[in-house]
Amino acid sequence: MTFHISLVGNPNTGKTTLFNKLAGTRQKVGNWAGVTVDCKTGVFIRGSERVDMTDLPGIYSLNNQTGGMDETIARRFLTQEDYDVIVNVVDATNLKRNLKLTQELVALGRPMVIVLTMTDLARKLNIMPDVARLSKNIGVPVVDGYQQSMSELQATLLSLFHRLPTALDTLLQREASQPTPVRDISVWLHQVVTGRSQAKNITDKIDQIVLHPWLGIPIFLLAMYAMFAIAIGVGSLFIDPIDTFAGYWFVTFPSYWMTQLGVPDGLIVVLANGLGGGVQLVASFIPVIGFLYICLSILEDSGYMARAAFIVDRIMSSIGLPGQAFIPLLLGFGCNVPSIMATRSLTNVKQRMLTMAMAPFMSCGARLAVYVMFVSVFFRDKGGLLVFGLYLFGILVAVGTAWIFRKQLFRDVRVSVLMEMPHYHRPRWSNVGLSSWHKVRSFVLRAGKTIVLVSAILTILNAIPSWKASEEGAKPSALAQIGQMMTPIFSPIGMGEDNWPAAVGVFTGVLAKEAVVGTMDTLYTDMARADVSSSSENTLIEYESPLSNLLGVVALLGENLSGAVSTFTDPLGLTSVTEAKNQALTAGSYQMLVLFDGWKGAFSYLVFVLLYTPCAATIGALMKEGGLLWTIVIVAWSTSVAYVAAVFSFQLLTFASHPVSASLTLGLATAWLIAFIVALKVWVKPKVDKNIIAVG
Amino acid sequence: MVLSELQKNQIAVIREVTHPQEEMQRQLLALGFDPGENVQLMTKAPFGHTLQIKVGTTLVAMHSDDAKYVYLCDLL
Repeated sequence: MTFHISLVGNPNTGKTTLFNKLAGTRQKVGNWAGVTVDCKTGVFIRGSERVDMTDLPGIYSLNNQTGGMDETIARRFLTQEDYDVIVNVVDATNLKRNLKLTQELVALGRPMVIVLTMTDLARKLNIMPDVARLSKNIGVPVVDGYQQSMSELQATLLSLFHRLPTALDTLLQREASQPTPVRDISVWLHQVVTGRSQAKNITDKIDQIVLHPWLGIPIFLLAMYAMFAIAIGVGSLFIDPIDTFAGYWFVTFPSYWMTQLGVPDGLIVVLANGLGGGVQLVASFIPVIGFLYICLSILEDSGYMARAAFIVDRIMSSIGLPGQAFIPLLLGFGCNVPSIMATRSLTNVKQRMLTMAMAPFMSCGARLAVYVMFVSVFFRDKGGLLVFGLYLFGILVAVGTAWIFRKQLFRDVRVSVLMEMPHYHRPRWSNVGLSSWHKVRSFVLRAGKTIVLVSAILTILNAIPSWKASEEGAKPSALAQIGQMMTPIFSPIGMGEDNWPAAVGVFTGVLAKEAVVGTMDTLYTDMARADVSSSSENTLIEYESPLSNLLGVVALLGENLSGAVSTFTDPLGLTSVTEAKNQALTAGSYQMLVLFDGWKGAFSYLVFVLLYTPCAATIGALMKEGGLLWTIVIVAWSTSVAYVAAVFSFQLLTFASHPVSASLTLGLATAWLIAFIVALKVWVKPKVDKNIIAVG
Repeated sequence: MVLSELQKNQIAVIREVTHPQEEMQRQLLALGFDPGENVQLMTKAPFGHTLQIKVGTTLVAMHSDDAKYVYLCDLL
């Protein structure tokens, strides 16, 4: 026999834990029709019997019309969908409030079972309800979900399901007799809890320290630092090995064998370098994202996340965001991709979209690589100051963005916080593991598509030759040729016509910001050698055997792990800035020094690189979390701001030499930014409500 | 007396909740802010604006702007 049950309950009741206990790994996450709210379904089988479970979002009430997507989904499911039994998950330590929802569920008149969770804590607090009495008072079977093992609980539930009247029976019965009104909670609770609660429980004790007026902030900073060091620091130790591994299996290996089999070069470039390279890029993000999700799940599951939000609430509310928005923004300094993904913790959609718009301005680790390169060439004396200034400038632009977007798009957003702070408990590894796994998987599947596409297009452009003949001064690739055509656009930010590698860097930087370094390094070195026709060099692939690749990966991993200690003392990798001073200038660097024509142009270029469009991977994450419209707005906005800021920087630095043209350029740039801000209100605002995305 | 005026660790009983915003009013009731229920101010966040309140056995974080709509019975 088959049953279809739905799990319903308040948030923080241990509903997910119960679901994981019953389903184990036999669960999957899909989408509710039409919205991107995760829909978890699972199954357990005992003998010939099968129980399908749907885990509904945690809700306090079915009647909150304005309560957001979660309530709507739960209400729609419970009243319209086809299911056999409601399993109401009730927190035994908080009966009175949990039973409010139970009242609404009983009123639905469907077959129902109540499972009590947190009964271990309830016993400890001496408020354990009398299960038999509660069941009698409500008229619904009640089960203690904590005490029983997985198999016992499955058996108990199944036997209860068999004894319940079927949905049809209840319906017929209700037709026949007047429905009895649902009784008051005080009647339900009559003589159920006989113990008297102990005055201080463990949560209150921990909160006294964690939320202490003085200790609260240092503890918060320590927790954030630990998360940052683990997610970004430890996660990035695995990037190189995974990158090498994926690069081998998706790019080198297929392209070698396709060459052997006589597949045309063009096709190899498209398949191996384009698509394979895209897959490689997605794979290289998995370790950081995986570690981040593990850290976030631990913070969430232990109950600390709500406290962290509480501590920084005041600071964040001054820019119109709740405390929870702090964590995504902080993560942005490591990598913008997990930062965008972490905005999920925000339940208010508009606040979430605002946070997404701010996140790309947090200067990520990849951009640091670009700064380091420029510091080594142009700013040897004041490198630290410059880098610090750029980070600070990014934060200022993010705050400005929040201010403008809020004024133009989300004027009605009220910063109100009304958030339950769950009891502390030890994180359950099954919860942490399963939730991280689901999220990494959905990143690979959904954001991966965009990343692969964008990177494939850029890689292919980079690999195919220019359409111009070499006598006309053709550049090594179509991408370089486009870069050359683009240089006039960048002349107001101080890029000379001959400085086309910098323009190409802007393009490859979209792929991944650190690609700016690789591109410029290669192109400037080529120019220095006055050997422009070396395009074939890039596509030439050295073949190695799978075994030697594997050995290389393991060696790389070992090397990275042995250097792990430094990631805890310097998770941002800022020591590289001081090291840059001592590097010798290469031929390429001299070329760079000549072409940028002094530090003013170089500085403006750095400002541009700091702010301009998020990289392909971040765009992928934005598409997944924010939808197409919001992604376009963010990309256009960040690129506009970057351009205008860079123009301002260069024109003001060189104002004395050409005051008239500088004033004109500055005026035009300002006009563009104003036009953009006006367009936000006129053109984007009416559309944004319809394109709004739901919470996952 | 209203909830935002409560001193740290003081316990009081809710008289009524009348938040002008319907959504907030509903959420407050759903979280257990019912007349007759005990409330206690556990702590204030740094810079004072956000409060940690225990209502019944539930811990809730809320702004003092919203807490002023929770009216309390006179303290014993």
